[in-house]
Amino acid sequence: MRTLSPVIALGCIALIAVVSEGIAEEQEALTFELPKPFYGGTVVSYWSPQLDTRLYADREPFLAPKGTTVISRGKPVTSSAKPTIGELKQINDGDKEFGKTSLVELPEGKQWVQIDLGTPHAVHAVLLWHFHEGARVYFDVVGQVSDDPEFKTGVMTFYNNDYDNSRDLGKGTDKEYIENSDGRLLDAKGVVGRYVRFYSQGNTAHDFNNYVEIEIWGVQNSEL
Amino acid sequence: MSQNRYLYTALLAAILIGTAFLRFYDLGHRTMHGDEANQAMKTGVLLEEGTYAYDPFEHHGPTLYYFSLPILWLNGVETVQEITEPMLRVLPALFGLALVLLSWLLVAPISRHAGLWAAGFAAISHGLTYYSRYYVQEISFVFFAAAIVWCGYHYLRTRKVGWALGSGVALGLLHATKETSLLVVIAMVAALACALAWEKLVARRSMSLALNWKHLAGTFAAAVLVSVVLFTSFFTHWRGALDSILTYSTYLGRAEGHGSSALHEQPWYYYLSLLAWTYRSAGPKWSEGLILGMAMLGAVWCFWRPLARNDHSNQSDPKKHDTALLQRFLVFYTLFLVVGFSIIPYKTPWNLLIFLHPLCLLAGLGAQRLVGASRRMPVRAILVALILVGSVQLTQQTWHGIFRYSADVRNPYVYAHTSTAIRRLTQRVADIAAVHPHGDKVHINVFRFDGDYWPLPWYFRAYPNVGYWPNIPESPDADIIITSPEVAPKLQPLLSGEYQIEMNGLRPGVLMPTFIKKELWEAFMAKRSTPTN
Repeated sequence: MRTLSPVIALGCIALIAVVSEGIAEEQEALTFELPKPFYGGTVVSYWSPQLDTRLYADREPFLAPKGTTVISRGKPVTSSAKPTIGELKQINDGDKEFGKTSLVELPEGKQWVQIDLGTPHAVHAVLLWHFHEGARVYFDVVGQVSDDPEFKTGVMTFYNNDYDNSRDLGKGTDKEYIENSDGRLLDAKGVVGRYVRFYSQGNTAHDFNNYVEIEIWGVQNSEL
Repeated sequence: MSQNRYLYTALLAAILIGTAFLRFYDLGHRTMHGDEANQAMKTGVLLEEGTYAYDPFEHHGPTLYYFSLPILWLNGVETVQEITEPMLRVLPALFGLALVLLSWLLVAPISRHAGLWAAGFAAISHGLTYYSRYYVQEISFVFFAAAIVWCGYHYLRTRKVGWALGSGVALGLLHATKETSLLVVIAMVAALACALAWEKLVARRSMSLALNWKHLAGTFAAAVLVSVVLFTSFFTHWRGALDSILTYSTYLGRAEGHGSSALHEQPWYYYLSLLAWTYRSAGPKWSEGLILGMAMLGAVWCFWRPLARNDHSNQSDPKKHDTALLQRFLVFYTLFLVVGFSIIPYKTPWNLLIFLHPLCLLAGLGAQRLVGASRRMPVRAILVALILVGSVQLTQQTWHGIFRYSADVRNPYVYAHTSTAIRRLTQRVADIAAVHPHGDKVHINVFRFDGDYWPLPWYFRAYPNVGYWPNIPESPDADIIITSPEVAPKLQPLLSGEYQIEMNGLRPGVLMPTFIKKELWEAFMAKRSTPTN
């Protein structure tokens, strides 16, 4: 039996390697449909150690498990306050253009929007546009997933650039970024949950909170 | 007093109460514009040191500063640190309220009902309300111009020397408020000449000014006396009087777009488009089209068939001719101001107030003519209701303009305005000062070499150790350093201490990297207990 152990161990390693390779093969690059860029206004000169400097570089392919699709389109959206401009359903209706009809504005200060995916999903990526009719930085951007619609239990944070913890959600270490038509691609790393919530707290132009579109990419939990 | 008189008085009182609410409520809501901050600091110097010297290149005339003093004294403040934004903005708000009353006084002699409409339009006009809550010279300038017309009109009617002297005082104050007074006076003289010519050539009525040269001399003497007293800082700075004349060479160049003024060059239709329709980005659509439309209607009617005084049906009554002259004067005056200010390439939104106010007066006349065009009561009622519905929309727009969008670029009257993000920076500085061993004596260095740092001196007036540098010194370290994205990368290697760096905003698109000494940052963050995500 002792002589067989190394053989079994080697066999197991070989099996894991084959399975892993199989899983790796099931990964594929997500294809995002991006809106037209806005050519106008003044380019913001922005410098900060908190700022993501990869802004103008081409985005690297984002790999996600095969079958990962947009799971947020048309799903119910709620928010911390009633929008002062637009309707919440515009946030995930697929219209990502900078035009005057695609912007949703929430009142000033600390606000959030939340998308109910209906059932628990593995969230792999989020593509987020706050605003792209001119360059801005939105403050204290936080993305979380939970099965609790109140976000009191089982909360998992996949993005947080609130470096001074002004939102009281914990000090974040992610980068600030300048909004543009490419949107901000957030790696949610397959975190599972039914509700996805996004926080912000004003921006460099005013105290309001804006959303053009939120696109959540993932797979339904039963498909995992 | 008859029932109608009670109703009339009640309506006028309601308009004035509404005006006061729109002018005085929550005056500290909007962030300070750089120009407001600049004026506030000059007022602070006058308050603390009792000195003022007219600058012929910037900041306009001295009335704003001197008129602010009694309000500050009444508030019991002695230093600039004690001054608050509402204390300063009370002055333009008072002028804004007085301007609405003056609108009624100007138009009521033509038609009592039109007087109410005119006062109502002036009360709810977005532009007039917005700048009545803004610590710059503009609304007082418009008030003094209207006061000249009011006194002048009553002088022509009564020939009493008091009205002549009143015109002179208002003229002196207009001159001591803003350099564009010259354009306004030219427009007034030309409008009076045109109105008289119209009376003679078209209306076939002989109207002579029959000038009393002594009264005219009194008018000019009063104007010169007021202007000299103010420009010489109460006879302590004689150069000011000369500079108040020489300044026109500077402002002529500015009007033509010389130097940095080119930044403010706009097409000829800029002002009209601001009034008619502004929709810059997703958000509200702005228009004072109701006032514009009613004013055009009023202007046409003023020529075609000017309103007669309600209480004078006699065609030969000279007072009726006075009001016809006033109506045509208002049309020519407004027209010349619109054309004059539109052809000058240098344009800023507040410059349109000088003709927005007479547009409100004409709108009052237009509304009254429109309602009075029908003798049927139901039709009149419908017309009044329609104008009132439009007025509700105007009021709602004004409310949004002075509160929710008071510093938002989507608002047509927001121009190079300080972003609300400035409050994030001022709160941060206060937070850091709170954990600093010496409190408010925290050392702050500002490195913005283009001088684009206003209104920071206003917001940092409580901190005595703030330096505004034209270059990076040998030892640039400080507890807090505020700079620009262009300077920050050059500055960082020169700093000896460790810093937390964050981004703050001055205006949309104008950002301020802010360096905070690491130990102060950590002391500040220690107050926030939530763990790192």
